[in-house]
Amino acid sequence: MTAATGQGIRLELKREFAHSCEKVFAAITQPDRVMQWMGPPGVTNLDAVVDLRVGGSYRFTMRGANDGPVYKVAGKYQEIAPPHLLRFTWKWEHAPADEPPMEVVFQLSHTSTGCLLELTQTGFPTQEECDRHTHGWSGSFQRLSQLVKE
Amino acid sequence: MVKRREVKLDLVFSALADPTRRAILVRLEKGEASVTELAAPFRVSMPAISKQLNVLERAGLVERRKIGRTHHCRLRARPLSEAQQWLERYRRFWELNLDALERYLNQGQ
Repeated sequence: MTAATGQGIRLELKREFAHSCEKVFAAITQPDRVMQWMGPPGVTNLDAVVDLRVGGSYRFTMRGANDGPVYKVAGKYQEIAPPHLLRFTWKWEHAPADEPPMEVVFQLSHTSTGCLLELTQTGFPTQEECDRHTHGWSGSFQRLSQLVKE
Repeated sequence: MVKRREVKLDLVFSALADPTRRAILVRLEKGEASVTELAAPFRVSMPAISKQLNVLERAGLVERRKIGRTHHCRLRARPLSEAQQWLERYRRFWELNLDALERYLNQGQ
């Protein structure tokens, strides 16, 4: 589901895991664990550096499939509330220098079967959106896109 | 050297964050319109509509040209489809990552 709100376009995903929030939180924050799973299929993780504190940075280095190019993604942690909340910025190092970083939030909540993970990515927040106080219409970006498609 | 993206996605997303601007785009999807025609359905002043059009223009979503004394506006849908493609790429990226996370967790620790 992609929603447009007063805070800009968002990407939202949900996934349920049959594991505790603590275990899931550790898997997304501890570098030795992150190295074991992160990345789309075929990608090799080369390095993970994590300074897990508000204002601390992380950097993940990975190699694309079939001995592909090396990619790095890095950012800063903005909010950490184990095991329920992790908010951080996200930017690929090969992206244009003047492009603002994206913001990603992981929210983990206990369920009877384990843990519900909700991932929200905000695309390119700007100062205008930060200054905005009212919430706009909440709707489907896809609907609009289909309406305005040529 | 990093290639500069033609479409400034941050400006496109910012432009789309406002309901009036989205409504302007929906109207322009039906065809070109003058600034006066665009302002008509909204209870806002002409300068206010012009301000919204500036944002849409900077994002590359609208093209304005002068015919005589009237300003005509035209929709440019390419930035919109680029933004949607970008979102879909990221959605796929995250889905794959969550699949990988699930496999890792299920490996039995």
